[in-house]
Amino acid sequence: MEIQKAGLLDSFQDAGRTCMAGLGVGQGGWMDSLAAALANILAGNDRAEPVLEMHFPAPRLCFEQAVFIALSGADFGASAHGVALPLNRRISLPAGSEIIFQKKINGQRCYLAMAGGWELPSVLNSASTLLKSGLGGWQGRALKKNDKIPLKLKISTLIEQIKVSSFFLAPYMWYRAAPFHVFPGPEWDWLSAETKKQIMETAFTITPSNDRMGYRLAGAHLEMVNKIEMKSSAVLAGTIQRLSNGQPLILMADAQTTGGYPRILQIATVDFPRLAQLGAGDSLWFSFIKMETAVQLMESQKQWLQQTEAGMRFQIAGFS
Amino acid sequence: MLELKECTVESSHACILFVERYCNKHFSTILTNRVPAYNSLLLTLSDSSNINLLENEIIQILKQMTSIPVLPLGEEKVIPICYDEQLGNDLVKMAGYLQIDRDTIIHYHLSVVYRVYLLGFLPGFPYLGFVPQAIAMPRKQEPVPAKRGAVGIAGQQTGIYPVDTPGGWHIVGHTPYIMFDINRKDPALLLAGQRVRFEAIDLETYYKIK
Repeated sequence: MEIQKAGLLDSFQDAGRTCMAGLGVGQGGWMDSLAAALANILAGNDRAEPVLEMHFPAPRLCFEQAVFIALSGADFGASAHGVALPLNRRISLPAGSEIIFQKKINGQRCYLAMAGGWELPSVLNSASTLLKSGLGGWQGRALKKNDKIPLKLKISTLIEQIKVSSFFLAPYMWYRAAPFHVFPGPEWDWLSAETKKQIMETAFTITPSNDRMGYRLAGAHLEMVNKIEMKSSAVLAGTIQRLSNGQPLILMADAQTTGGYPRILQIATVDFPRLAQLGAGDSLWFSFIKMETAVQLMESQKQWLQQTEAGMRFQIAGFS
Repeated sequence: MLELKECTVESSHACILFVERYCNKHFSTILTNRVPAYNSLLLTLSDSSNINLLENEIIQILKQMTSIPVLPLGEEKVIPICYDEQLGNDLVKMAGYLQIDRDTIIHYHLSVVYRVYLLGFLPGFPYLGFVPQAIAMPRKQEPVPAKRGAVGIAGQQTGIYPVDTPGGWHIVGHTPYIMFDINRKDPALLLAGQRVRFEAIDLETYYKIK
């Protein structure tokens, strides 16, 4: 696969690195785990296979050999030689195909899975690109023009024309207006009673300062009753910190492992994929969730993935 | 998340590391991450159904604790540091701010056997405590580029940048050692709980080791 034109930020990601946070290595990995999984399932891959995560403007890609791919997540209006390449379908491309992404239709992150995957080294048990440290993925960095990433699989089927499968996998059902489920963070009680009420009753807007490390939000000014300085302590993806300017910051996949700002809320893992597709100008609001409920929701998300994967095995058998 | 309150940072940290090591020994199969810090410990689990089991166990450990656990002192790690201005440090600026001379800052920085309280910020970045109050520095207003191996001060903490990165700590010197290397069996050079001493080296030695 050759990068003919680089996008804003194209990097290889998998589920990331667990068990390393104690050494200062954050989990990282794909922002939208469900879209990445769906793309992998459609490509006939193991769900853990690294995928290409793209932002808009997205890259122009060229495939020297015939490939099976799938796109999922954000819709960037993909096409190859005038043929539209819709999301959530299995796509076969003849050798020499070029993919372009012309329009940001919805979402923030589009995932491309390659049947068989790319040749990527495993660094600390993951192929995820850790941009800040220059580790993992393709040479530890975002993809650049003229990069050529070798594929693991050379398919033997002859593909003569671009083909998009008639079947598609429906993405996970989200209610766009649903609140983000949160738990109180360790420093929740440092906030004033009035602020606590405001956080739960008003919407916040994602500012242009948002990336794989975190989203800065704008909204009600968060007043503190406790002014003591916090000692550096662990943070996670989904941790909402209150910055010194009184505004919240949601930590995302590439967040550092420890921080010194008060941790006011923690977003439930089950809501991460949805959060990953929000960008500047989008509004969000919060609602408390009980641990049991969060566990149940997570369980149904896992089951949905398993069922989707099982259903796909039948489809792949009839498609080549 | 376990957080200890109302005791000194040294005691909290000893308790935190004791619990962390206990969990590593007995619960390594269900734990995905352990992040000890000054007075807190984050544990993450692969399966949320084990959460109550773990919580009860930790409460029991803490209840049974009759005194502050004594951690094995372990090996004292020596980190060579070059305070030469040619590598680009903030010593002159600090001397002006602190109203003491440059050599006194160096003397104070070398005078302590530090403890690694935690690793965070970046892979292999150690938070070492504590420099004497006389050389404590507030963070810079804005992060500025720091080199790999740069040794900085923020408050009474001192730390070592593992890669070239923007950072807000005032730089006192540079070590030729690599703090984090994926090709080593243990990628991180320092680990929480270890003791660390700095040893001054000249520019020639710095380049020789590097």
